[in-house]
Amino acid sequence: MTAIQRASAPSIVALAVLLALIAGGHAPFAASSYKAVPGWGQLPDGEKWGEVPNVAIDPAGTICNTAQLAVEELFTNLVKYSRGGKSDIRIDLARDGGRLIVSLTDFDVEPFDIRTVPDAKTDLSLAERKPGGLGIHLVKRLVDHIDYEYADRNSTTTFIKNLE
Amino acid sequence: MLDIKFGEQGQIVVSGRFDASQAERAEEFLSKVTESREMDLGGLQYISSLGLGVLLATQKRLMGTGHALKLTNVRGHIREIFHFSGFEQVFEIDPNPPA
Repeated sequence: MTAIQRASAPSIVALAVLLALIAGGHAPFAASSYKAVPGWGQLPDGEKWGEVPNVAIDPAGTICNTAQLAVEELFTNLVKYSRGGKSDIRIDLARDGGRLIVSLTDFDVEPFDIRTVPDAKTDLSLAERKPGGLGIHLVKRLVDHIDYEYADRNSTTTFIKNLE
Repeated sequence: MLDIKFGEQGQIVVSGRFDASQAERAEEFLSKVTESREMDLGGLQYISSLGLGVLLATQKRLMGTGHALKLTNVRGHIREIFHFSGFEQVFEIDPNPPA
């Protein structure tokens, strides 16, 4: 996977369109970056996600919804918990045959491998359950593979979603 | 954009995309619900963990007073997310898909 472009602050529409195009085989790879600020202002905007013209290439929206969910959960997790992160988070998107490959890279941070996060306890009674903690749990179940790399204080989480 | 409102029969009608940017607004609306209601999710296209958290918190609050939300018209991929989130144990979910 190669990043061909790194924009300073592209709109989330661009990322969503790229996801749709790549899932549909119309573009091989791309990259965008988002500012990791401690707040929700830079998170994927629901209205803009909804503008993605993905109907023709993903009629049920399943692939794009899953990929967007995984990106949102991983992104919000980085924003909330990344220790020391002050720079943009880079998002790389690629298609390799029948696989959609998405990577999120956070720069100059401590390591955090989501594969080590315990699963949420979803079998508890309502009285015992507390809201929260479902994001990483869902990502691990909805995507087909997760990789993690940490080098030179750069933390990269990659997920693969099979396109079928 | 998320749309959440009361329907003609008093049910809660939710449509659009329930993501992090919409959680606060949905929470504000649902805070007005104080008794058992059906929640029609037929128009819900997307929900993330913050949206799930808002639903779970509402259900906990209502159950504390003997009330509950019943989720209806749940689409396939939303149903899958509810399943992985263990929502079948804490919500009554109508098994019928949207018409």
